[in-house]
Amino acid sequence: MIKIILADDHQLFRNGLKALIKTNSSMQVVAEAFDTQTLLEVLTKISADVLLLDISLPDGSGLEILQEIKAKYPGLKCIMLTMHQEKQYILQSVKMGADGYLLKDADEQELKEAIEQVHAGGKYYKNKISDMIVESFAAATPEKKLLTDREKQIVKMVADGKITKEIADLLCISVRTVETYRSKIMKKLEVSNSAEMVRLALKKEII
Amino acid sequence: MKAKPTFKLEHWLALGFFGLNLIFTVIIFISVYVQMRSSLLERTRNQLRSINLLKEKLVQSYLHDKVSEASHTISYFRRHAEVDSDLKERLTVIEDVREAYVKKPSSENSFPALVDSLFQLSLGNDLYLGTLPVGFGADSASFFICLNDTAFSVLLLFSMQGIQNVLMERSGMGATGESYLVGPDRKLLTLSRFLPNQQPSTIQAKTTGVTEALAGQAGILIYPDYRNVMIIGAYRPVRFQNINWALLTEIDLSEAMSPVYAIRDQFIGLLILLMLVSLAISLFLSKQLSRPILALREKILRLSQGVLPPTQSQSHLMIELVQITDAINRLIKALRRTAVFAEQIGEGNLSVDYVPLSNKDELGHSILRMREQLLKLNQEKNALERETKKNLLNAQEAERERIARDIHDGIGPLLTTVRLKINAMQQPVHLKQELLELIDSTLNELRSVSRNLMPAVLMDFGPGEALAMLVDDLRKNTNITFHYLNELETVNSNLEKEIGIAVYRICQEALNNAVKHARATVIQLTVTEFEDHIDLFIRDNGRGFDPTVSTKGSGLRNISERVSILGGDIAVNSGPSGTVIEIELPLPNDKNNFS
Repeated sequence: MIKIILADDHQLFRNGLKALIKTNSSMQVVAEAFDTQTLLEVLTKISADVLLLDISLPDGSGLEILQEIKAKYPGLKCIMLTMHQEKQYILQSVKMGADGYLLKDADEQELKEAIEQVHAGGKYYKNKISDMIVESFAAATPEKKLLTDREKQIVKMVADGKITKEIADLLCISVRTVETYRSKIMKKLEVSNSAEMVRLALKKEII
Repeated sequence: MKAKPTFKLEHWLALGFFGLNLIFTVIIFISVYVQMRSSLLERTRNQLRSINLLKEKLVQSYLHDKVSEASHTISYFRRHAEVDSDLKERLTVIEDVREAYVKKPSSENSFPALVDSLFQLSLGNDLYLGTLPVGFGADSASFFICLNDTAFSVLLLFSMQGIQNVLMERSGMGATGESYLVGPDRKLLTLSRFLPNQQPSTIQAKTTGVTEALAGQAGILIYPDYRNVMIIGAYRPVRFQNINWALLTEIDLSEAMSPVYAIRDQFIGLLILLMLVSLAISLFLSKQLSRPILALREKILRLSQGVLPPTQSQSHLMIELVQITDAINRLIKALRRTAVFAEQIGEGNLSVDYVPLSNKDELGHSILRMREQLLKLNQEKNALERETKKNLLNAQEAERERIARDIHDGIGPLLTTVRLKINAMQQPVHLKQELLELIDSTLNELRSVSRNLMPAVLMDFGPGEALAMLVDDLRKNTNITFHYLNELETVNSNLEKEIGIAVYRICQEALNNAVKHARATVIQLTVTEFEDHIDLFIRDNGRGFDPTVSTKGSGLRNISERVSILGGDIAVNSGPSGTVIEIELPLPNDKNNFS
């Protein structure tokens, strides 16, 4: 028997969902919460296997408490059940440790599959979402980098001996913007002049 | 309260000039007149005195002549011892003798009574002259000579004709000058020049001169004569034996003084002429002097009415007037400059500059203060306007957000609930499928509406992600190549919700423009966050537009509006090879500001 907690602010939706889950004998809704506060209280009293968590809750975002819940209850599998289908929400969910991501307008079959899959210890993301995740993580890798692409571009141009005006022309931005970029880069690299900036960038193999 | 002066300046000046002239001329005239009068009088006196004296000598010598003629005749007679009748005859031949009587003591002669009395009178004297009373064979008094000899006595009665001729002799006495003799009875002895037809003995002359002369005094005085006409008269006694006459030489005062009077009249005529000329000159001069002053008064009057008269330089005769005119012209110029400045301020041109005329230029400083106040008010008004627009915009965005959320998070879940219900219904599969598809498309529409109103991603992940989503959508729906560079800080972002929304809306608008109107094939969007500002850069390779013309209705105006509300800058550079829009939005610098 899979014990399930529902966290959603819509009574009607919860009822519909409960009715749906009831048709499956191996699942049981053990508790409900309509906001984050109630959910956190419920979790302290009732242990469950799977949490179906909405993102938009009256007193906050499901994503915001996801990390906390996962830390407190590592055994609890969390599936985001939301209206949001934008990839930003999905990626954020993955980042925060969600085990699955499900749209509210998903089919009955998908819902059951997801609950069963995460309960079995797997992750549930639809194919399309999975691709997106891979893509995003590939793109997100350089996030840790010291300088942004544009900043690196500018440091490289400075290293090539281009003056501010030339850089501005090449990048089609104003001279002032280039100046601002340079001071921002120097601040980031903690240097005080262009020569040091180039030297340090080469040393750190940034360019 | 002061008495109001009613006299004009030019009148004062004219009066001054004229009065001075008048006093001066009159003083000169009077002094000259007095001088002339006294010298003329003196000359006339001298002349009269000498004539008087001369006439006396002539009368004396005439009398002597008559005496000696008579003596000679007697001597001649005695030497030749002629008959008595011859003597009488010879004596009668003497000029001016009217009657001659010879008395011999030896013979008894019979004579008229008067003659007898005359003989008696002269008895004991060799020679006796006396005045002959009126009535003795003559109409007028005359004189007689009586000579007593041992042999005989001779009495000669004379007419006054000879003396008359002597006195009548012209001697520069003018028209009214005359010399005449007056007897002791104060009656004229000789003819009056003025009354030639009247017997002298009928004319009484009880004048000062006569009285003095008969009393033995000589002199010269001004007094009325026997005609009662004012004369200058010289008088002296004529004494010869028993003759005691008064000789007067007189001239009418009016004639004697006539040169003086003529000069006086001329003087008065000249004076009047002088006065007229002086008056004319005074009026002219005072007009000349007062005209520029009146002109200045007119200028100052107009100034006081707030009218700025034209400044024309006039040449004046007086340096003070030139200086005053100059000063007033400078005043007018300065006022005009101030007025121009005030007018500019009035027209709302607050950037116009003004250098005060001096440190104490109260008007200038007041207007400058007014300009500062207006500038401040303007700034406050602009700030208020901006604030109002900002609030309006924020309210609008908040409203949009609320509606978007209500649709997305309120209606959406309800629809999904319906979907669940349908799924759970015992209905034919195709019917359920139809309903589910309907609900799914409704949900899609709902998501689209919500996102158009306010993308949830924008609220939850910021403009960087929201724009990424937007660019993804555009990539899917168009053939345009997009380069999107999100350089917003992900960790310590300074971005407020308000600015986040603005960044998103601005870029959305710009992208829409580029997609819809520019026919671009490549669109580049870069959003960069700096410490104190956000830099937006949107470039396309489309056909461009004239940023000064086609702002109407286009998204560019909305963009500019949002930028100005946030106090940012926008630069639009558009041409046939594309459009570049660069925008800077300032970030509230609270992080670095611990004050």
